[in-house]
Amino acid sequence: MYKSIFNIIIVASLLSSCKDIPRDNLLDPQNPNSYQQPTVLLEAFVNTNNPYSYNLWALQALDSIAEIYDGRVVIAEYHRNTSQYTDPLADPLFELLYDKYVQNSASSVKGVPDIFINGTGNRVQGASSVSSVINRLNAVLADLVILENHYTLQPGEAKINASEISASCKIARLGNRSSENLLLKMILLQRINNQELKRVVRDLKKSTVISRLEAGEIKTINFDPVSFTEKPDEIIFSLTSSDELIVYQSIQVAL
Amino acid sequence: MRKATITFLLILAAIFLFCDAEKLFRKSPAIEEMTIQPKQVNPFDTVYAEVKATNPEEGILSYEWSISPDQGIFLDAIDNPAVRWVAPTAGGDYTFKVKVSNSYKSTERDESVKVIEAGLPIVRILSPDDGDYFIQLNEITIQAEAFHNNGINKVSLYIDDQLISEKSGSSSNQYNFQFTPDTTYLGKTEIKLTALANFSLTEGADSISVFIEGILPGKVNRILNL
Repeated sequence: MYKSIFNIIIVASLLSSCKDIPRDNLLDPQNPNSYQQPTVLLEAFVNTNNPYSYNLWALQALDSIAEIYDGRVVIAEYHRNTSQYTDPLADPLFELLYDKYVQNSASSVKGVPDIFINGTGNRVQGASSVSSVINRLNAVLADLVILENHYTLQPGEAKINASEISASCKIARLGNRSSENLLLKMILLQRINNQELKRVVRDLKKSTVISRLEAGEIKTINFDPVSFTEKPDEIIFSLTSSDELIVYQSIQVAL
Repeated sequence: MRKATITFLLILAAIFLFCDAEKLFRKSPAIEEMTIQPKQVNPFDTVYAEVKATNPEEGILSYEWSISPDQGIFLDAIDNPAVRWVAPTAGGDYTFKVKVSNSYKSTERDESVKVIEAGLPIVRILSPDDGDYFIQLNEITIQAEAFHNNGINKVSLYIDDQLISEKSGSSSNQYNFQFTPDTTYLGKTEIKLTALANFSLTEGADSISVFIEGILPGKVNRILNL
């Protein structure tokens, strides 16, 4: 009898104490004070099919930046044609994105290399050496990587067969505020070689607009299967504003 | 008619009553000659100034010299018909003024002397900033100010020690230059402005370094079928 009463008291006290567990985990979306470290998206528009070194310098600088900011940046390399040089890795889809970025930047000058940092917020265009690009990127990234970020991205398991890939990603809204009009982008990367073509974008898919994400809410985005001729090596998921101009959070996963 | 005559007489009476009526009919001293020697000097040079005047009235004449702006030093009392003045270090145009008075009235005359300052013009590049980055084939605007007390003769823009353009001196002291770096400019590039002062022909300069970044310009739209 005493034993039963004792057990009941123990269970009751456990239940009551469980109810009061403070939600103080900074990564817990239910914690109104939660936040995450940002992962900054660097989108480099380049042309590697020309006799000049500018684009190679920029790509080498990005290699260094990837080492310096290990895990704090993700890099996508979009190839595009210029007025004189066509690039076999160019895609009209990338040109539309580039047009949109340039039109919404402080300078409307087009030309590669052209690196956009978290959308159109910051831009590093041109190169005169590897170190000049590193210095300019460093000047921007040093401030960006220490900001608090209120989104968490968690990729689901990607399913790949011979010609198709299916992927999903969870988005959690951290902090105590809701957000509206978001877009999740899936950027498929291929490592063509270990020199200048390490992170070549081969395809780009967008979710439908996420009209609202409440504070603490978690949403799963499933992308339609994407067909490919050459298997991608990595995926970048990137959460942006619905007009794609602001990148809020990104994550990269190997396939 | 009678009323008008009375009014005129009343006004005349008021003038005699409230003014020094005698003064009205007295004559001012006549300045015959004012000499300033030399008219262009260097700092610390001595300038000799003399006035010759006649007095149409009885009595003696008195003199009062002044200089504007009020710089430099008078070596003699400023109430003499001739004075010596030591030029200041700051260049520019200085105006000698002399006031010659008799017991009733005075006459003034002024004449200027130019002080040639040996100091260098002040030149300052306002924009761009040192270390700024620019893209090849895109215009750079260079804003600067240049000043010298004797005015600026010309301002010259040099890129990597090569003369690009020149502008005449401006009273606003503000100068704008445009420069479009072609493909020969890449990396660290020096922008230098020199300013040449009037008269002394001393030259001041300011320089900054910027970075010119190479790009492959333009795009091909046809692949979009736009």
